[in-house]
Parts: sequence; structure tokens; C-alpha cells
Amino acid sequence: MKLKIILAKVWKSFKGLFQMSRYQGAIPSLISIGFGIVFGILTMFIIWILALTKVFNTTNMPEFFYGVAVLLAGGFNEGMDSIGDMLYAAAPLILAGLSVGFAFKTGLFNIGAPGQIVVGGLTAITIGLKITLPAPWHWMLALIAGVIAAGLWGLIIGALKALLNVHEVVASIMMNYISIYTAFLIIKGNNMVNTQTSQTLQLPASALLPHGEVALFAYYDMNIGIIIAILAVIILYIVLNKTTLGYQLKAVGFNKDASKYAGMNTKRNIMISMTISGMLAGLAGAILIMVSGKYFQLTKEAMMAEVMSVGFDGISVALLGLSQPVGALFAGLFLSYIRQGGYYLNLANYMAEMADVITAVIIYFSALSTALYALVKNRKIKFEALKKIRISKRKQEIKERGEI
Amino acid sequence: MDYVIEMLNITKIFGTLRANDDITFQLKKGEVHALVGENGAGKSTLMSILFGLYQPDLGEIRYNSNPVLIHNPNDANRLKIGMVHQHFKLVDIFTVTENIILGMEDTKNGFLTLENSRKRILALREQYKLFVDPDAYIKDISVGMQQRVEILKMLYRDADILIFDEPTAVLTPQEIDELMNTIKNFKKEGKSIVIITHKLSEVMAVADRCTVLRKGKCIGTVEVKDVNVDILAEMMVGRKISFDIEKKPAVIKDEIFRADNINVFNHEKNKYDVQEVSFKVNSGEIVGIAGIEGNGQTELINVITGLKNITSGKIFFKNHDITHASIRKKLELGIGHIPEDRHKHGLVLDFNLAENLILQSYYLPQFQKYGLLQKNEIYRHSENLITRYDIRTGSGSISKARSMSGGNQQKAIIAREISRDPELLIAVQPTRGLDIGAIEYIHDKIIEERDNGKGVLLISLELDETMNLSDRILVMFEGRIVAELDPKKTSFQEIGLYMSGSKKGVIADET
Repeated sequence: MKLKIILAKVWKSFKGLFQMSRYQGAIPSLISIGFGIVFGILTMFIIWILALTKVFNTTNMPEFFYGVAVLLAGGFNEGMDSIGDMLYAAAPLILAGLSVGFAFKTGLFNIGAPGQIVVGGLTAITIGLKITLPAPWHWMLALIAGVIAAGLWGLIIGALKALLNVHEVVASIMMNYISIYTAFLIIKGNNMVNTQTSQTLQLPASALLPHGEVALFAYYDMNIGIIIAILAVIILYIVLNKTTLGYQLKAVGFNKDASKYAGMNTKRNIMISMTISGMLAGLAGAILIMVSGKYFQLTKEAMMAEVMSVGFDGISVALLGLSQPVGALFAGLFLSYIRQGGYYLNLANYMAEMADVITAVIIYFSALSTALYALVKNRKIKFEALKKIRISKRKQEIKERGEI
Repeated sequence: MDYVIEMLNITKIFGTLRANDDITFQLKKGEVHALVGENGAGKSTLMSILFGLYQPDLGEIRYNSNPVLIHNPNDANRLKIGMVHQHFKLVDIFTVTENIILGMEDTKNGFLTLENSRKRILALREQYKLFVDPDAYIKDISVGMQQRVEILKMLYRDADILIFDEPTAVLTPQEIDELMNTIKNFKKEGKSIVIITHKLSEVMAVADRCTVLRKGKCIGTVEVKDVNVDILAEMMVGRKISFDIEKKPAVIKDEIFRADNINVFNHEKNKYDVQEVSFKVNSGEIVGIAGIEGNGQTELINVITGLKNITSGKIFFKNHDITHASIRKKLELGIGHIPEDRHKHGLVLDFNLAENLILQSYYLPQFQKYGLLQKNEIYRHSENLITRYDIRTGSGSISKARSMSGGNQQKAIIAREISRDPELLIAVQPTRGLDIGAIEYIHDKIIEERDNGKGVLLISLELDETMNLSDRILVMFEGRIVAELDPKKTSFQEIGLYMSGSKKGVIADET
């Protein structure tokens, strides 16, 4: 009996997946993705024409059609190998997107994700280098410690906001800088640095995320990061949609005054929200760094380009994914997919940065598209209503004339 | 015909809403023309089109029989059309003179010269008996005075066609009488006047003709002398309505709520918003607080419900001291609160109806288990309230609060508050902006609560409402309670005197 009920429930939610109205929110994102890709292809076309007409003198003639094919093939260019790369690179992006998106959902702009990623990574490195433990426990401890440390880092921002009314964006940006130099201080002070290369030391194998030997996971670079990211998506979806905690956090995010009126503790909710957001970013940081051949490079510029950029990408992912957990999953995968395409573009004598051009355009459009979409829709409705009125008037006039 | 303004077949569409649907409105020279209709009937939209704030999608405007296009308020000024908006457009920190000349200042060598303007304003003031001090700052003068400044602003621009948008909403009964006299003076001077209102008694008192709108459509234009209030009301609502509220005599029981010497200090303005306010509410009675907007009512309620901190004083509920209790504690003890601003405080507009209906009770065992929301129970609860309180929405429990009409949003709040079975119901402006059907419904529910032996504290700016519903009326002026009156023994005039501070009473020390 019970099984039947469960099956019925599963069937119901499965059917729900195919109701188009559920996906209407995604239309603006899809439109902006379309725009971004068209814009990218157009740019490639212009470059090609300029090269053909010798405006640019280049020995490496770009190949337009091959380039477009490579770009669109994205993560499928080299079969399983590039799929593995794509999934590996997607995991931190998804988690950073979840972090920013979760804060958005609860009415906060966590621009501090980059700093929380640094703290998460730093903690994972410290645990990895300074503590000796057997394999599963070591990397698990490093991961969890990273999550907790970054959560506390986020809590500082939340507490400043809730208790002292410091705007979270200001606090976040400052905490980002503090995080870099705190990381340098701790790494250098505790002999965790290779003085020749000024990188952090290689983590022991026990502190690296496992590879596994089955299916996709047998490929180079691929690890369990993507599974952790998907788990995080599921957990966050449940927290936001099924729990009283999520209900409260969303209520405070949508309308602080009404939440206060209804007896909710808005200050505590802001702090909880920033903590969870920080934890997710910390997870991204730990996953990013717990990989063979990954280091913290101890200059501000390198940290910005290699570690913190993931946090800023998280803003793009959250925006494209409409701050929804599932949205972040797809947006993170897409971003990683198009970057893989960019990575292979040099085969066609284009620069890999074409992918970044496309992403940039997509972000611009998705920031505008919700508004544009609503505008277009309203115009259409109004236009049709006016048309109806005109037609009925004309009919009436004809009728009156006929009667005369 | 000598129509000074004709608006022919005006249609204006906002999204899916037809705010004005094929409306024709003609204003004769030298008449007072009332434009009536319920909230959302399209009155303000129509006049905003005439004043150049909106462009009509279809239709034509004629000025002295010549078609004209009014692109913006400057065009309207050129056609000698002036408007007093419902919410005044005045700069607080400027003087009366500076506000009146704003936009058409006299200058000499690039410097502002006020002398000529001031003389003209004084002349206008004498001519129309609109007494205001031209050198006073707007922030220091009363709302009634501010309205006079708005009127002078129109006259200063030589307006011949004067539009008043809900001019009496913020006035005391005495000020309303004065305004009506001013309008009659204007008529004598040959000016044409449009009054937008939903108060039919004013239409009968001052207007020559009346155009009725309902849901964006024009129902008709009538000569006021040929009709009475009942006919107008029926045209406005579309069915017969009764204005009298029937209620049984109150059965007053024990004291349930007591405010003891409440003071609230406003640090921004450096003055007391509420001063030495003491009163009590018994089970089984409705206590109404009357007063002009901004005399401390909002602050008083915010302190009682916990949205604001108290400066000094004590609040008792069921003999518990709840002065510093948390909002949740107050809700759990049994206080229901219909807030003044339903969009700011009453609802989370991006939540659906079911989620809004559990805003204060989501954490109770009924709705959650181990921190997981019990969706089935939540939706059952919502369906139950929808049927019991007749909440109408597009798609039932899953309709977003944002998509609901004002009346149904308010019904949802009332359903939520009353279903929690509070022993004290605080209703602040419970019918603001609603149509007559919803108002009747909400009044019935409030009286029903009283008859069930609950205490009700009603705060309303509509004096009719306070008079009709309350068993006892307290009048607030400048943060103090200046009178306690029995609605059966007092009059609008008397309350008006207290509301404007012209009369100060002795508060009955009943024990």
C-alpha cells in the first residue's frame, strides 16, 4: 500500500516536470544565452572577414566554420576526456553560484564569495598539510573544516549587517581583501610554502578528493567534486522549499518588514543566511584546491585570477540560474561547457577568451532580460487589446452604416 | 454647447487592465462637476490624462471645441488647467511663497526676487479668502493649510479649470466646510471645477453635474438636482447598498488591554510622537481612535504591536506586562493585528496565498514536523480559509499575493488574523482603498469579533467608519488623547473640533 502511495507521488512530481509553465522563468535566461552565442559567433565572423580582407595580417588564418563548430561542441569536443574536464571545472562554479544565489534568495548580495572561497581553500590546505590522517578521514576533515571556516567568515559579514547595520556589500569587499592577506600570513608563517616557486606545498594524496576508477571518474582531472555539488543542489533545494528555515529566510528576503510584523527574528535570519552562503563558498574553495597540481600562488594578482575569480563567476552563475539551486546547476554546467569550447578554439586559430566574451554578453543580457521580457510581453498584450477595440468599433460603424 | 473641456472616447490600458474604457467626459464652463466611482474605477487615471501625466491610447481631448494634445503638465498649465493632487506636491523645507512660485520664479540679474510674487499671493489670498502665511515653512503648517497652498499654486498660474483629486480625504469636518465654500466662490468667479471623490454627500452639497465611473467604464452623467445619494450609490456600485451598519448593543466584559502613560520619542524630529497616552480596551467592545493622519496613531500602534520601541510607559494585556515582550510573544498571547500598510507589513507579496496565511504560525506543530513544512496541512488550511472568508483569487491557494486584488489581499489578512482567534484585534485602516462590497464585509467581520466577546481597537482616518463601528471613541491630536466620546452622543462637528486641536476635553476617568 505504502509503496503505491510513494509511486503515485513520484509519478505526480515526474509529470510536473513536463508542465511548461514551470519553466517559464527560465525563458529570459535562455534568450540571453541565445543572444550571447549569436554575438560571439558574430564577433568571430567579423574577425574572420577582417583577416580575409587583410585588415589584420596574420600567419595563423582563423577558420570561421571550424571555429563555430568547436565552440558549440563545447565539452563534447574530445569525447569523454573533455566531458570529464567540463564536469570537474563545473563543480566549484555550481557551488559558488549556489552561494551567491542563496544569499540573493534571502535578500542579501554576497559579493564576499571570493573571500569565503579563499578561506575555505586555506583551511583545507592547512588541514591537509599539518594533520596526518588516513585517506577517507583526511580529505573529509579538510573539506568539512573548510566549510565551517568559510561559514564563520560569512557570519562576520552577516553579524555586521544585522547588528551594526553595515551594508553587506561594503563588508564583503573588505573581507575579500582581508582574506587574501590572512591566507598569505598563515601560509608563510606555518611553513606551508615552497620558497622556490612561492606556491603552497603539494597536499598529500590522503587529502585529495578521490578519483575513483569507474566510468567517467577514471578520466584525468575528474573527481567527486561534481557529486558533492549535485548533493549540495539537492540539499539547498530542500532547505529553501521544504523547511521552516527556508520559509523564514525567504520571507525575510522578500519582505523584512512583514517578517518582523509576523514575529520572525530578522537579525538572526540574516546571520544564518550569510553563514550558509559562506559555507557553500567554502565548499567551492576546498573542492577547488584539493586536487593534484593545484596550489595557492602567493601573489595578490594570482589569487585574484585563479581562486577569487571563481567567486565572481558565482555571481554570473546565480544571475543566469535565477538564484534557484537547480538553475545554478545548469548555469554552472553551461558556463563550464562554453569554456571548454573556448579552450579548444585555438585549434581554429581563435583565442580561448572568445568564451569569456560570450559569457560577458550573456550576463549583460540576463541582468536586463527579465525586465525586457516583461516589457515586450506587456506591449504585446496592450497592442492586442487595442486591436480588438479597433476591430469591434469598425464592425459597429459598418453595421450602423448598413442600417442607414 | 459651451463645453470648455471635452474628453471623447478615452481609452487607457495598463498591461491587461483597461483603466479607462471608452470614457466620455464633458465639462461645461462655470460648473462644478463631480467625478465619482469606487477605488480603481479610473477617476484618477482620467484626470491624469487631462493633466498630461498619461497619454490616452485612444480618444480625443477638445479644449473649447478645438482638438488638443496634452503631452505634459506644462501643456496643461498653458491651457489653464490646474490640479490639486491627493498627495500634495510640496517641498517641505521651502516657504509657502517659494512653493507657489516654484517653476516660474521671477529673477533679476539671475537672482531670485520674491517681492512681486509675494504681493500677488497676498492679493490672491484676500480675493479668495485662502488664509495662509506666505512666509511659513510647509513643514510647520497643517494639512488643511497645505491644501490651500496647493490651491493658491493653481490660482497663481491663472488656472481656469481646477481639478481636485480626493480633496477631503485629509481634512477635518470644519475644513471640509471651508473647502466647499471656497469651491462655491470659484464657481462664482466663472471657473470650471472637477472634484474627484467617492463621498456622495460632498457631491450632493457642491456639484452641479456628476459623472459616474465603474471599473473603467462610464456609467453616465447626471444633473445632481435630479438624483439622490441612493441613486448615485447604485450607479457607482452596480447594486443597492445600505450605508447603515446594524449592530447589537455591546456586551462589555472585563478589561483585556491597558496602555499606561505611553510616550514615544522621535529622535529624527526631536519631539514626542506619542505623549502620555493611557487608555483601555474591554472584551466585547470596539474602541475607535480618531484623528488626522500624522497625529501619533501609527506610532502608538507600532509600539503596542512591538514594531517600534517604547520610550516610557507600560502596556498590559490580560494582566501580563507586555511592554517589552517580543512580537511573537504578543502574537502567541492573543493579539491580532491588521496592519495599516498591507503591502509593507501585511503580506509577503512574492509568497503565494497559502504561504501568506501561515506567516505567523508556520512554526507551530500543526504546520511543521522536524523543521519540514507540512505542505498538505498548509494547503488544507488555506483552502479552508478561502471558503470561510470568501477570498477570490486567480488560481486558489497557489496564487501569488501580488496578483490578488486589494480587497482580496485585505480579506486574506483578516482571515489570517481572525482565524488565529485573538482576544484583542487591532485593526488599522482596515478598509483603506477598498470597494464598497469589501468594506461592508470587513465591517461585518469586525463587529462579529466584538459580538464574540473579543476586544477591538480600531484606528481609522475615515471618520464615518470610526463613528459607525465604535462603541467608544478616543480622539488623538499631536500625540495626545484629547477626548473620549460616546459616538451616540457626539457629532462629526464636535469630533472635528477635537481633531484639529481647537477644543480640548477632559478624559472621563472611568473606573
